[in-house]
Amino acid sequence: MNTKRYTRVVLMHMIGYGLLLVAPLGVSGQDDENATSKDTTAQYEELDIAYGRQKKQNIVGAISYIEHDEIRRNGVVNTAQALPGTLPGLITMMSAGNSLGANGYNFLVRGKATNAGTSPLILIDQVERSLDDIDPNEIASIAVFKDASAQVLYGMRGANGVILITTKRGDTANRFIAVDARAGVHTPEFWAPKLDAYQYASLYNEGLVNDGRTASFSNTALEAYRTGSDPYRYPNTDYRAKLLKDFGSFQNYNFSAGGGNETLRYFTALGYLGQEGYFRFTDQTDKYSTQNKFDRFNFRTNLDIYLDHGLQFGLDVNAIISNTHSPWTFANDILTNMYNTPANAYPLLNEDGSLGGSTLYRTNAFGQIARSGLRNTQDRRLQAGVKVKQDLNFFTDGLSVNALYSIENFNPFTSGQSQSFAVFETQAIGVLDPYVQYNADTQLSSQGYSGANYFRRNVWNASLDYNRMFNHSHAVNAQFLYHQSRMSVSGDNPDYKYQNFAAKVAYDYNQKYLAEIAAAYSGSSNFTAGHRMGLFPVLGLGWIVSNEDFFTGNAVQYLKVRASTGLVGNDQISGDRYQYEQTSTAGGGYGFGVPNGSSRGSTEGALGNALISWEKSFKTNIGIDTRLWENALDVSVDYFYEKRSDIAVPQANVIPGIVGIGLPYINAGIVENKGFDFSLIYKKQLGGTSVFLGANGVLAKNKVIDLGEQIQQYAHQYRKGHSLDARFGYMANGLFQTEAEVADAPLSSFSAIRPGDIRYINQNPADDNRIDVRDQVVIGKGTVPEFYYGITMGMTYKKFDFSLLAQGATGRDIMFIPNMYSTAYYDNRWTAETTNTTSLPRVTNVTSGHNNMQTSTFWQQNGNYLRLRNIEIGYTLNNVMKISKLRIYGSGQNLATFSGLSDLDPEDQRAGYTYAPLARMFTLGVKVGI
Amino acid sequence: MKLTIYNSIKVIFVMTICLIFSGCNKNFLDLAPDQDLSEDDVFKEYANFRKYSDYNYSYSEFFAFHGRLWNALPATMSDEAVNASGSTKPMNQGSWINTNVDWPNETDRIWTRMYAGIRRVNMVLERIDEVPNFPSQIIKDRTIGESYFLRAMFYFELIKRYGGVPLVDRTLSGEENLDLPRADYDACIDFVVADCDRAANLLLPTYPDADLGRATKGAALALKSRMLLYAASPLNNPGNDIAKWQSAAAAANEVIKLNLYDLYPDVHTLFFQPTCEEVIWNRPRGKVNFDQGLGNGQGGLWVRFIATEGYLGWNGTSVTTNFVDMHEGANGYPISDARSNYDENNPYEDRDPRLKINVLTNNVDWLGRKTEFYTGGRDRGSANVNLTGQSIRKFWPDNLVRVAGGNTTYLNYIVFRYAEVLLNYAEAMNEAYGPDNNNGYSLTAREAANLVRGRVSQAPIPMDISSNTASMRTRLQNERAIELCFEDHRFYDILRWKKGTEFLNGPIYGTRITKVSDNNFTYERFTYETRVFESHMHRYPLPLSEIYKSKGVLEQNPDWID
Repeated sequence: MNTKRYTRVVLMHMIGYGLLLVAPLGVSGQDDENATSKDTTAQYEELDIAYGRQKKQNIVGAISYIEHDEIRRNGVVNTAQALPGTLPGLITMMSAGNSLGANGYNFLVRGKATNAGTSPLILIDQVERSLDDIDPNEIASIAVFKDASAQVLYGMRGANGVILITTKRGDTANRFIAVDARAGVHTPEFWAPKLDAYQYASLYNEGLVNDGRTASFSNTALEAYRTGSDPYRYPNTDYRAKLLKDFGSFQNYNFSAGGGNETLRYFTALGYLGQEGYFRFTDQTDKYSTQNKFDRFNFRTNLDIYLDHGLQFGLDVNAIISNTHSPWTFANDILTNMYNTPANAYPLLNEDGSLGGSTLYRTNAFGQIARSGLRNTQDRRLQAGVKVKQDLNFFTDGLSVNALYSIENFNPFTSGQSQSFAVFETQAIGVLDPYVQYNADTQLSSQGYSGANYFRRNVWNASLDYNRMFNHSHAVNAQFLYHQSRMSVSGDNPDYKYQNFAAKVAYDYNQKYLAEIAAAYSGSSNFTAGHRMGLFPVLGLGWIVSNEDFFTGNAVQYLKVRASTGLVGNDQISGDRYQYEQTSTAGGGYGFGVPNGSSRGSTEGALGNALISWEKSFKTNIGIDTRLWENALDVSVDYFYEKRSDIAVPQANVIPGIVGIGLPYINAGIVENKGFDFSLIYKKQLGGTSVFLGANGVLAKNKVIDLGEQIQQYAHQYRKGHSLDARFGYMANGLFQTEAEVADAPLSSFSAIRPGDIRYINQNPADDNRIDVRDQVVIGKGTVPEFYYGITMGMTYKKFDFSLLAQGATGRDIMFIPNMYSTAYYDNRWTAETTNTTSLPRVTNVTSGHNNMQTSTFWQQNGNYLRLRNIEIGYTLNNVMKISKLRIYGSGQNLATFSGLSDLDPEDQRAGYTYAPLARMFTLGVKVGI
Repeated sequence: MKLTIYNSIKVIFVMTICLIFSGCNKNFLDLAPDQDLSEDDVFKEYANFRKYSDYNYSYSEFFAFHGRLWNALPATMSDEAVNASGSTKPMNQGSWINTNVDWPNETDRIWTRMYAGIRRVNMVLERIDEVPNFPSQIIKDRTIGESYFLRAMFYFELIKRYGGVPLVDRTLSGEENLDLPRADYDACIDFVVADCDRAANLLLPTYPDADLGRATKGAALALKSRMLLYAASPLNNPGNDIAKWQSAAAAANEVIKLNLYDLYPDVHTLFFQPTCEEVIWNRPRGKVNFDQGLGNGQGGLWVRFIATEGYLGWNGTSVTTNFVDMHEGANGYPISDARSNYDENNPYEDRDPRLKINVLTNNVDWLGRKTEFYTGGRDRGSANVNLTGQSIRKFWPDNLVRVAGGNTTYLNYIVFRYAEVLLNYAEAMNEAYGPDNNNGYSLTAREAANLVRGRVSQAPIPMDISSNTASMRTRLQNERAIELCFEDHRFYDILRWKKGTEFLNGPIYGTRITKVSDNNFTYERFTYETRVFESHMHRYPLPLSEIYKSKGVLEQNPDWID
């Protein structure tokens, strides 16, 4: 073996780019002394791939990969939060993700290629799981499979990409015990500003007058709101200021241990996470607290047992119990209530201490926090699996048989006690009875519990593996595998079943030429017999140019070219399950008789389509991996092209309605998706200082070729030719300033137009003089970014370390229509007096379906953003007393967001308004390793 | 065999392989036993068939069902009422073709929904002979009769909106050519009349209590009467062929001749009876609870449409002043006539008694207090949810009507009642034979109308303003508006009279009420909105998507964009 190759292999191990820089403790923690010794084994470094492991340099597919240290360094408390910006090709989109305990992200691998289900398949230790099933502390690595070659063994479930998480396991060379304790605070990134009572009431009056109606708040009332002279009859309540704290707290403790000997290896971890929300006044009774809290306990043990004659067992057990605690009124509903209730609705407390309210506003937010009762939602997750591996060298060298059986039970349990509370409205002075009561106080009463929901999954994997080197240069790696899984859910839904046969042969000549062919024959119980199994073949090739004798590049230490092409599938099609048959379901009913005897009706489902099947995804990937400048710069770039066909589209779009029955979907849609992704890593060691810079990103653009769209009158009404996410809406052309302009304009189909309203462009002026749905055109991009990227940075200096992660997205537009009674409107609304200085339309009291509330370019904003996800600073001490390593660290999460938006979360526009805002987190922690 | 380690390895290996291939069960992906029925199962067993066939009734349109126009009665399409939810805004503003409308049930969805009902009925008629074990031939005949009745009903719903439509009398498959043209209007009427006649021959006049709500002979004949009245009306009978009016009169007379129906003495409590002598066909429902708080949709009609905020309702529908004005003076003269003694400052007194039955106005005793429709009052609502200063009272039971503790009552949806038949009769007789010629039947047009007025002690129609067909026509149209208000009639009546541009194109008024002191209010008429209705809107536009899909076979109604 030549030294050139040796070096190459060592550095390859560093592809997980944080490895040398931040030297955290724990299972993969290592200091400089043993780094070298570990790296000598790294030439055999293998990555987890579908149903096995493969030497990294033999991989011909497109796989992104991160290791434990990068995950932990992100300072996160759940696994989903660890992913943004870290894995090239993986796009994360926050989806109402700020509630305590919610993991809150949607994922896309290399964008979208269908209008149906786009979720990637998520696996933990080769078995389908949820990201809620794992504490980040237990993760050894995460891989994302991006091309057909990496996805093919998953057959009709692979096309949306695969996220494979591998947990830590024991290791004879590295026995450790580690404790990581940290605590901190989280604080809202922002709360959307709200109008005070005077502003609200005067704006409300203005809206009524604008609509030609009479103002409803009298001058007396307005004056009282303005001066605050009578806070009980004319309240001005800032609900959030009174009811919410600026900070919530959290704490997170992890204990883990690993090690072993020749026969037994173990990894075990125990963790606790506790988070507390922002509510004040949660201790109104000494019996219980109504604070919004999230607690999670997790426990995992992974055992490996090595017996004689090449027999090996693995036993993995994982249990997570989490509990969300809140007032009986959901925490988010209380926040929504605080945002939607105007400041003049009621005083939180009346003069006599009773809860304020009125005929319209009976849900006093104070009452909801303190006196609505309490609610517990417990998720109980248990997974256990057993693995067996038997070497079959007695048949032939390199042959082994592997089997895995895993069971899982998920059981959410909710219970609670609720009570209702009376609210009182202060009456005018001089009225005999000073208060009018609405609703009534009741005792806390049990709401029972629901524990009947569950899902259970059992999974069977078995494979015959053959791995052998011939003549020191021909390496053959072959696998035949069988997979079946069955998920049972509570309720009437029949089990979800999958079955998969697959085979793969990989060949490597002299570490120069790589070839791989694989095929899966996979099926789902959702399709009919005879049409439920599909064949998915893939071919992959690789050439490690730098291993050629002629390759003598000085600047280039490593160069590899990869290519793959093949077919994979997606079974998450639109429509119900079992679309191949038509069924009549019990439903509705029509009663006859007096007294009314109810009868159960029966309705016909849509006609069946026996041929309904999965989406077919034809993918091609070409990639280059290289390292330059004495291995300081590591670059990977992949180009990809995907054509998704057989997307299920509704036949109802083309068949006349007089058929009188629901029509099935047919496999007729086609979407194209292409782009590239890349990863750049630069590392440099200068004396005691090492520096690290990384960037990764993915550009993905899709185009609808055909989606069997509803037949339309005009070409501009079709999505065909545009992106799946392109936004349809009206082209706005400023505001009407005068009655004359209104009179000249096309009629509106929304509401009577007045000066100060938004003017839209009539796209079909030859046919009508009206703004209606046929005037909607593509006005911008969707919320899925076209370009998504992450930036990482780090350095170590002596015993200090520093790291940073930022993540951004461009090529996206968002639509945000502000609330009519918001500060934005108050400050910028159109009035007859300020026609030229205002930017927003007039205020109107008509909110539903109003002209100004339509999706249009007026409200569309550029949604590009860059988020500083994490900064961490640590200080490490070695061999202090009996402690081999001790690291003290502080970190901050979500410290800054850069975008062109004000008071608006670029990822979720409800955040800070009707939903909890993104939390900034400040953490202090200590990690001790023995 | 000695259990050496080597042997045990072999055993494990063989077992593993066995497990793999036992796992490779060829039938693993087959379904668990299916709980749902296939179409064939429905007709293999009487019980399944019964459910299928009975459920066909639910495809009927019920004006009081909240899902139809979302928190507002169809009355908000006409000049009777305005709508707080916006669901009828496109129609009110003459902007029908807009697939973005909040609640397109009345426009585009009615098309597919009615053809879905028609398909089901056709299925029953085609396959009923396969069903074993019918309890009796009478029930089988009744089922066939109900199916013809429902098919006629579904086509009536289509025809009254669109005019002629494609006639489908069998179940269609997705594979055949479905681009069927619209049948000519008269052919559609013949089709519906034939179905009504078949139904009337098969259906019984009355049923035992447990079957109340099923179509009767009277229901089939009442539908025929309504259909023929529509067919004779100016929109559909532009040449004013008198024979069509004569057929309509004869059809109404057939119902009267049955001698099964009579006017219920109290028109207010009529709607809270499970059934009564006036009801020809209704949808039975369970008792409705009136004690629910805001936001509970159980009371449907009551909580969503009618009750004001002050009574914990949503007040989706507010009554227009245009409608209040339609109520005559107590002596039978319209308020535009000086003889009516109408007093602007005391507008609700000395009027047709039905004003106080139909409309809840300001400062009247209601459920333990005075109503407050003045600005700032509880019933006007904090956000002026009540848009016009008056609300519907017609379907709102007072405490005396409610049973079992004062909180529940029946609120069944009446589709055909005898008063309508009398007014169908009066209108057709007046056109066919004049106001005072009974053509040998039991009643003249005038007598029939005065019967309806007599129930509430409203004065007979004054002779001097109803002496000929034309003047009587005006009075009868007004009578229909008052008696059948909010019951899903007026909008379609206006269309068939071809009077949309008169009633539906112009200002809609509300009453602005200001409280001066207790029991002292000022009333001011204000324009709530200005409606737009153009002549071509007397027929609905066919759903654009259907026009496009048919590749030119389905023709749009005139002057609508296609």
